[in-house]
Amino acid sequence: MKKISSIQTLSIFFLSIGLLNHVILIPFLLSTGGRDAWFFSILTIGLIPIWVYILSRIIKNMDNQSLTDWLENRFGKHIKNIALFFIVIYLISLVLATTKETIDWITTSFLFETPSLAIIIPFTLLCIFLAHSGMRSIAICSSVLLPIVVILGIFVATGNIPTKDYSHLLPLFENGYFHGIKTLQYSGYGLTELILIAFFQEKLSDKLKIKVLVFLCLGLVFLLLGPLTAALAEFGPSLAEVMRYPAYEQWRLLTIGKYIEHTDFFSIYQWLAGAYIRVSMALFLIMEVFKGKTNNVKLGILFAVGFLMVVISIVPFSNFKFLHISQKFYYPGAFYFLLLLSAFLFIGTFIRSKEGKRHANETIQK
Amino acid sequence: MFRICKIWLTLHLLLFLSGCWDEKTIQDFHYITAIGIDFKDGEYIVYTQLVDFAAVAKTEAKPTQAPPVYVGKQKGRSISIAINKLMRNTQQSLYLGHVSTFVISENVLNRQSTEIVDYIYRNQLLRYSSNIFATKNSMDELFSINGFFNLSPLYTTLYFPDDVYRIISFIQPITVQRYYSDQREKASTTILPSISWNDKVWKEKDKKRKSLYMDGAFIIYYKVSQPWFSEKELSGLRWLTKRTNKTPVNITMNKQDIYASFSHPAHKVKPVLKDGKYKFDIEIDVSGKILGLDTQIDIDKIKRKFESQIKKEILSTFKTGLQKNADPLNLGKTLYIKELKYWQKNHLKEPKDYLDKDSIHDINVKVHILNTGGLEAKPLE
Repeated sequence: MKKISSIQTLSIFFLSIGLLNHVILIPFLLSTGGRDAWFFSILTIGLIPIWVYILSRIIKNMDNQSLTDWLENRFGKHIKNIALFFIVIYLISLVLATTKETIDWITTSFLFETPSLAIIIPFTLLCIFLAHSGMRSIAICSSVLLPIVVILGIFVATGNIPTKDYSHLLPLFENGYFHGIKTLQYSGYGLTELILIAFFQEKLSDKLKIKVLVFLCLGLVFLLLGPLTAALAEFGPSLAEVMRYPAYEQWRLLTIGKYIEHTDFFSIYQWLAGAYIRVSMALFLIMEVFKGKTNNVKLGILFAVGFLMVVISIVPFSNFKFLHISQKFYYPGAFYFLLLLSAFLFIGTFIRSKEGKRHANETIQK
Repeated sequence: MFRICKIWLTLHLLLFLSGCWDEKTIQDFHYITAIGIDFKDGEYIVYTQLVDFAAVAKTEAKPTQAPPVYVGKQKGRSISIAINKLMRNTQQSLYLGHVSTFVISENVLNRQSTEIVDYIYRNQLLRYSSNIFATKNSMDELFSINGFFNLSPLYTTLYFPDDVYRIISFIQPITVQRYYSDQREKASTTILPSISWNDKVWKEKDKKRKSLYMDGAFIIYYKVSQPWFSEKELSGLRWLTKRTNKTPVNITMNKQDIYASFSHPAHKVKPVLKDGKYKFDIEIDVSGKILGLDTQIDIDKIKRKFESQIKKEILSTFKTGLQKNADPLNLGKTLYIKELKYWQKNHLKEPKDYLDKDSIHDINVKVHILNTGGLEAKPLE
């Protein structure tokens, strides 16, 4: 079986969680924490050692078994089914939230007159196609997409330096020391989503080294801090707090010399690359849960989720309501769910596998 | 089967991704390049400048006559209403995506309403990298001034204020983004340059040429005061501006003029607690070159004279600010950042709460003379 390398895993996560940390979570962080948000985001660096330990223990313990097998071995069939049920619900919600956010952004920012259907149907089909092609295709795709995303990111970050005034980052704690503490649930969310590695670790060709994991975590925190501090430095806290797409606004600001401006179309590439990999990966992981089923059943599931994607983007559910719900309920909820799930898997690493027990018994009998 | 699927997908992409719905043909639009906003009798008056599309690009052949410039004007209870009225009366649809300058009148400034920022930031076509000016003149006149040599208005200070600022730096032009981000910051002062015109400087044959220039600035302390200062009154400000590129200073010694140009001053403001009130230490470090030397004087003496001149300018700007309850040197921002607790405990709200005539404790200016231009450090015989 063809396998994927750690480097490719890195690029998958830098794109899929990158979209989250770099774009989607920024307005939530700013509106809950204001100026203090960046300080609390830095605090998450302190949690990285613990998180990397938990992750590496889970991955090591799973030892190239698929998630479904491992769960069955440790917890038995019933608990496995319950866990898988919640995981699938979570993955579907991830797909839908990402799609809705993407389509909303497109229709409010630049394609005002294009019907959403014309955008969402090709997008859904592409995602289904990629997910159906397998994890290796996703990995290759993301390694092709990522370099340009990174180059564009560096371009907008450095090109905007003349417009930045980092004195806007201070003073901290205007509204008391704990004003921004709630932002931790958003800044931590990106990191906790790394638990998705456990869902496909059996497809890795080499062992994920601790070094790689630490690099991945630091990179994600850095991805979060970049646009967060930039939004504060460019727009000041009071405007940054009320902006709907602070990361995108930074692209709109970019001018180079006298004659180069309106470069924001580059952001479309960045955002869509992230959304494409994020949605495809989640779709693929949903399919993985139904591993034993036939190809047709899997395709049916993919198209069912695809149908939901289309529905969620065309229902007249306004953007600000969606913002409110995702900020107040969805992202914090997802964060706590992933924490619970990680704790659950972590506990699983301490349970001796049933197969292992059988194996041990056999050796004793011999 | 799979191949058919692939081809179908590609066709699909070709058809849909080219975005037929939002396609815009450039000749089908009138491009608004500047928006001016005034306020009178409870209504906003919006002025727009339309520039002929053909006159936008500089071409090899010199234009033989001045390009036509249209100025639209409409009133409305809000900015959007006024702009919508304008749109109803155009012959092709108006496009807002290329507005690169906003001009607001003194009346609008005095209102301190959030409407303009709301309009600009909510609109997905307007850019905050546009320039913003205030003006005391009438917008009709401002918007009808063409560039030199029959160039379109796009080649004037109204659109590229940086060109002039770079060679003679007094008041830094700002963009919408910097204007609003500074303005909403607590304890901060925003300097909004004001633009004006005269016809006394340039002549074309016997005809007077109008030209635009920045004549001063409004010093805005949000919700408190927004007095106007002339360029001369603000001369101390350039020493506390990082972007100052080239700025001229004149001193007189032995009844002779010595003229120098300075660039990139480094400044540091430090609040120090004296008798329960914060005072400010200002440190300036600036280097420049002498460009006019008519008399033989020791360079060290010249340096000291320049230092005291710069000090004088800073003090006088501070004092004029004090009279108008303004803080042009932006001392409040430093105090707020460094002594947040003190600020909050004393409920400081406006410049007169934290500034008085003794607020400047010390100004320490260091001048370095890098060279004396193309001639040695002595006057011509």
